[in-house]
Amino acid sequence: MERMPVFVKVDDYNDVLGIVKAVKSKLEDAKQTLLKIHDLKNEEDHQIELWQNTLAEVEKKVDFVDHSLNEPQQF
Amino acid sequence: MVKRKTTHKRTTKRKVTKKTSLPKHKSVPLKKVVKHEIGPAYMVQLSDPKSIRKDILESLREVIIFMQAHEKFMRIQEEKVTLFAQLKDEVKDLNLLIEHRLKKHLPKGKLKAVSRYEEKRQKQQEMEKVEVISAREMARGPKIPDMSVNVVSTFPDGSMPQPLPNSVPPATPFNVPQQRVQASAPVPMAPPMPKPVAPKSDLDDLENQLKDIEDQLRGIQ
Repeated sequence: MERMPVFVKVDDYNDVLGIVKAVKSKLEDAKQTLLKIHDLKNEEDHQIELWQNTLAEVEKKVDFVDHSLNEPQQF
Repeated sequence: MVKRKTTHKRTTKRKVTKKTSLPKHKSVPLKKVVKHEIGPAYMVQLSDPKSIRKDILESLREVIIFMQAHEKFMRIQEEKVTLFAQLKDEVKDLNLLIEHRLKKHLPKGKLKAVSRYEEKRQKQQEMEKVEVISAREMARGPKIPDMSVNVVSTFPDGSMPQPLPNSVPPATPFNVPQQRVQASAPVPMAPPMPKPVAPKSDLDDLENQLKDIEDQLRGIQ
């Protein structure tokens, strides 16, 4: 049985070809969407980095204020 | 005389046929049977059915894995949204504490708040502006001042070209009174203008060369 050739009807074969074509076009659309998601993610990471830098600066300044308030003898 | 009932067991089965009789007045509608012409059934042979089946099943499996990963990704996104909302509230509280509470207790100053990041950003913007301006100037080309100078062309050995007979007198340069061009002492030619180049160091060299040329031309006057 395993060595018997497999045949498919022409109508079904044409349907399968059409379905495969549709699947390929969907794959391309999905690829494009994924690229856009990747770009958005990069922008998001950049914004997060900016936030981190801003928070670090705020932390430095608050530390300075804290330090200067805790040691008033220097002034 | 007593009559005896005799019972015989039937060995054979009676064939019972039901008489079905249709009503005479009712007529059965005839169904029209459309005969489709069945053409020859063409078939396409698959070269390697096992591998095709394997590929189809594997791709189905991959699609299922992708969908599971997508579900996980959606959960992560939801968590991210809640965390962003939390961060927003925390930054709002920070702002309130610093702007409204801490500032009240600290003396007011005239200095503006400057952050290193903003300084770098401003410097970058200024650099970009300078580059854009220099690129525009490059596109226009080097500016030559409009000076009233008689430049006479000479041969490389310094001799003057002789005017051709019946020729039109040479056109006078712009911003010069109408005079005949007389043979004068050979004037050295201005050095050729270098081509505009993108990098900044070449720009500086170009500017210096232009200045030298202007000085020379002023000296000639």
